[in-house]
Amino acid sequence: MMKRRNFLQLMASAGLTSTLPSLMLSANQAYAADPLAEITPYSGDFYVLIDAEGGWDATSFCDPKQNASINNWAASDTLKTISGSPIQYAPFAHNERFFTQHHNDMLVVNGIDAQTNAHQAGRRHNWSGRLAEGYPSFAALVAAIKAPDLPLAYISNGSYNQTADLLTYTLMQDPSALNKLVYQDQFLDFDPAESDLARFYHRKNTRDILAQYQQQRVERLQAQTSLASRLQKSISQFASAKNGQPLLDRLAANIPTTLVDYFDSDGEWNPLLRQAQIALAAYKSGLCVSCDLISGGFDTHANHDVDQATALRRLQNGIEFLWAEAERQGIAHKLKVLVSSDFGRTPEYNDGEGKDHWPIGSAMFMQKNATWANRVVGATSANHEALAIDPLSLQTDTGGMVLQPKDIQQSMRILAGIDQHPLSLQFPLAAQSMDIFTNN
Amino acid sequence: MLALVACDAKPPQYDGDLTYREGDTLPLDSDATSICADDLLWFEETVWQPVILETCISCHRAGDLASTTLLVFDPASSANSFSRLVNYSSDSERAQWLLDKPTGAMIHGGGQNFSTDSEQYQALVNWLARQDQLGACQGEAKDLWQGVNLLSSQQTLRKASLLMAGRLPTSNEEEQLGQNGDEGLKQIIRALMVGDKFQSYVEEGVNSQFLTDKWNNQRTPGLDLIYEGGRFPNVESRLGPLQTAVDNAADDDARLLAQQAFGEAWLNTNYGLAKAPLKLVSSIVLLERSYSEILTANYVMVNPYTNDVYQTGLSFTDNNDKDAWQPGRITDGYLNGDIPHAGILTDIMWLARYPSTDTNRNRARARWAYYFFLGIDIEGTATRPTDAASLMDTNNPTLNNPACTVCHIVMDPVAGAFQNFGDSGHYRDSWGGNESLPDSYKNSDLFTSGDHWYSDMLRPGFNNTNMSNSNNDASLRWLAFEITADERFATGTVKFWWPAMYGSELLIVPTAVDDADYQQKLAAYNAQQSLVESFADKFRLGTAGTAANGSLNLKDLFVEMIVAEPFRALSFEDGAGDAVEELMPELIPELSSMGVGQLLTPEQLDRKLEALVGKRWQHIWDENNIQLLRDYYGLFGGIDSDSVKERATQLNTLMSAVAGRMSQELPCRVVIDEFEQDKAQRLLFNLVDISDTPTSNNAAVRDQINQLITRLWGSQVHTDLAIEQEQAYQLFNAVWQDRVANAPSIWLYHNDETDGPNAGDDDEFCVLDWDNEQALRHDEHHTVRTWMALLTYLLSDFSILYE
Repeated sequence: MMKRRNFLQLMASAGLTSTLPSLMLSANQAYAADPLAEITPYSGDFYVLIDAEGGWDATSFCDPKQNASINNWAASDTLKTISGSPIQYAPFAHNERFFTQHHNDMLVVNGIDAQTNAHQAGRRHNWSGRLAEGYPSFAALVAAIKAPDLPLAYISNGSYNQTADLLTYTLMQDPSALNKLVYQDQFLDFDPAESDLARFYHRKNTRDILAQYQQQRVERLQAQTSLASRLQKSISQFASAKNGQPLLDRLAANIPTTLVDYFDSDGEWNPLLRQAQIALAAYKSGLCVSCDLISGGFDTHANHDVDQATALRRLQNGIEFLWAEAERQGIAHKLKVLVSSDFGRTPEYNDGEGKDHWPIGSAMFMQKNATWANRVVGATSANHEALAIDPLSLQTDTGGMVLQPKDIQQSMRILAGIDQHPLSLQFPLAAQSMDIFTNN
Repeated sequence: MLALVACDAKPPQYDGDLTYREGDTLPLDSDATSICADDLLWFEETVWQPVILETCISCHRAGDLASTTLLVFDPASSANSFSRLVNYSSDSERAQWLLDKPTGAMIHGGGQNFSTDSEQYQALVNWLARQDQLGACQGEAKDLWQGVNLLSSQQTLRKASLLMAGRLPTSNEEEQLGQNGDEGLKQIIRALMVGDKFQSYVEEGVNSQFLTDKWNNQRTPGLDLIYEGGRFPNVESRLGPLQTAVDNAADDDARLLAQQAFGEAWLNTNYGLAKAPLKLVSSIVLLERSYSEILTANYVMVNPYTNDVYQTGLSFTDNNDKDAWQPGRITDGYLNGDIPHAGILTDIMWLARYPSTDTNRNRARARWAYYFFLGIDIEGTATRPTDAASLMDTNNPTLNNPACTVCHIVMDPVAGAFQNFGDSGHYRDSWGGNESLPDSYKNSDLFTSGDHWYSDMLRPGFNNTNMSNSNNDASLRWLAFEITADERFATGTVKFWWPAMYGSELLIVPTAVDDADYQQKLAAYNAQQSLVESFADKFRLGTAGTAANGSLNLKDLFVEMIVAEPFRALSFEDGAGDAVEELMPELIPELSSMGVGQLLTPEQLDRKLEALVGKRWQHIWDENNIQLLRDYYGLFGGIDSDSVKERATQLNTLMSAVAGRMSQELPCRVVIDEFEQDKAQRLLFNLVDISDTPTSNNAAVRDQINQLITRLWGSQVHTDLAIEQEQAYQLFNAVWQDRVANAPSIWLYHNDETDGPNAGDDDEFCVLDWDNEQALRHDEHHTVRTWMALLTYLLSDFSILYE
């Protein structure tokens, strides 16, 4: 029979070094003692990846093109500038408010060639750094490196969330029942302030005995090395998930009693608000390293000006809420945010007043008081074609390179300080050697 | 309730030749199964991935530009493609073409792809040079399931029964299996596929793909889609009078009643609309119709409420039963003429879930039709333009630019077959109801009166066949018969049902040849694809499952998939040692997404709990609030078919906490209800009396515990059964002994009012029946509470959440 050691070695040889071993070992370690003693609440930077799903129109956002054949607004208005800032924006959606308020905390990257006009591939390329399948999202990678044992290390709201089996993500949209999960051994369907009822389903001694026998049962399951791969993996996940339960009370303490409304200040149904609120609470509770947030509606093949503006306003309302809520929680200084989209939209309208897919797009890094902020890197032509830049000076250079999502992802790894981590090196990006955070 | 009596939608015999090639024909997949593993690996590394997948396959495959040439690859199978290339290369003239065409030395429809000094060219030279050596296998073919133990027949039956029928096998079924062994397994499994719970299983599987339940709520109601344009004049036939009753109510009480009546009718109408595509599939499966009917059905499923909306002329025994369904046709109920039904393809909810625009021109619908019904992911597999110039091409690039035609030549004819359905899914929704073309196009010079489709796009068609104009009114019916006659319909069906059956997505074809684990990934992918093809062949030929119900019988496909390794892989053989170790690198990615250990969906767990303990997990104060389907549905990995579209396949901490709470809440009423019945009537505790304790009747207690483990954990013990039985007994005994020694009360509900640091330590909550003096409210022997603890232990286990 295969020994456990051999099994783990073979996992590693199959390219799953970081998957099952990580889960198995962490579960074993955790079960060896009180999980609260084993796991340190996370207090490092919080990585927020915001996906403008569908392909946004950068020319009406952060890479404005004042050309009426590209943008209808250009017939009656002009692109806007900000005093003391190289950042320009289009007179569109909530751009004026958004850029005026946040330009000092953002780095705009224009002229990113996604090398695809297919949504699936675009999302994969943007959030994993590789056009081909198989790489984890940045959010998964950074969570796996920083604190893989946390129960909510990676919260996903449905963006590209492949984990390459590095860890398990959590989808948590409605925490209304959270208290009943944190205090799962208590009856809570009454108002404890007004009622005098028994709280626990089992008396304490029974609970203690149960916990002891449940733990031993899990340990016996984990010791079964002859089980087929899926069972091994599932048992490990079961153990890890169970192990994280005692930490959930931290989350319950940080979830606001009244969640933000689903409708934003424009009266639009905007799930991004609640996604942001829950993610921030998870971070503040010390249980979360990264999250992806998602805001849709950008795939405007028809009626572009109206629908794209609606989608952009929704996104901007969401980002602004994220920062306001982070400020309120006193954690804004911990946020490192990347906003991006599948790709861009054609620099022309189609017959249906829509815009189709265009591989050239933009991205936006955000961080409070960052020395690298209030800048623009990368550029596009008047027709919104990506221009090459010199990787050192970051200035346009016909002999230089065209930015790709892999460069953005590599920059995010640098920003997180994980670009040389062994786990990152397992997923090399072959990006250009450059530092877009250097203030050239 | 289901009834299919009004319609005869049997597809006609298809006389098309799907393997037609101009000139000579070549065998497609002959001997694909007897390829040496070494040869295939070499081919995959040096030719398949770097040359064919990178350069050739975007045209040289079925349905694409070069599909009528002598060289047609199978994008889903490197083995099939290997065989086809061997056949092609066996002729010396064609062997030379293989070198000359892609290098531009002779006329090639795809132009010059690479030069003679390229690595791709050298790969083809090496390929031809190796032809004489092919077939000299150096090692034995590897069986990916070698050294893997499967679930026994009895264990397989249990798993299948819980998933398909939401119940445990009956003693009669187990007895039959015992008599007939594995031979009888297929028949017994097939017989499970009846009833409401199987129907739910089917509909959940369908919705997980179609996501049409998006319309079954009040935020995005399907009814809004019907109101649009005013083309369904009877939409208010039931709701209108109910609204009038609300408006004319004499007082508040009457108004409240009227509002309730309106609200219920509105919800049931919306339910009928949104569920129609799911009911179509489930009815076809339950009634054993050919699965092709999901596309060829000349009807739509209606309940009494949507029957009123569509005015189909049907009548219902109970006109208020929202779960009564019949097949009906929309004729007079639609302003712009009779709707030529074609199953799912013409279902308004399905069409609206994949909406079109003036410029998308039904391409999204074509993409999803390929994906759902043919197993082809056009977006996922096609080559993409990498330069912006292709996208700025203004000379009708989707028709003329090779960078675009790669996909569009496949997609656009099918998009054309959707010609009669507008952006929101209404039939011929343009002004006048003659077609569904947008005004922006009709106002251009391209439009000619009488057109149904865009003149600057490829004609409606499928697989290189143009649709004749005689099918213009019912173009999707034409497409439905074309698709279902295509061999790939069977493959698409297997791929469609794979996630529901095995609890994981199919592996994606690996394309990054430089990845360290590329070979393992490719081996796993190929193994899975071989399984898909094998299932599909049997499904198509009528040899799947019990092989007695003809072609395209979905129940038989389910049976075939259930008795196969991906459903049953359990463990590595004892002593497999070196063999397992040798195979592990390939087995791991393969098996880690297949076999025993799939996480149950909230719906499946709900059914399983009821099967195991006889009760669903309900809210304590509201029996209609099924906890796994409402309060905890999303938290346990459920989907809302809108913003949450993918089911969780891995347990996270919150999901684990949901299961933990279930194990705390559920035992209280289950145990009390059990002990309030006579012993012989009990489902769970039929071996003990309430007075039986570890000291008074140790044997009975042990027997009861062992029986509970068998019932609740079944084949999922995964360790030494005797140890688990002993541990469970020790737990029982420890709890009981402690209670006898320390519990302050014999009431089953106890509120510990002690102040101080230990306040509440002896709390024991349970909802008791205080109105009935005969109800069980005391636990004089401390056994009831102890059995509750044991049940908490058993229900909180891994074995409950997975199958």
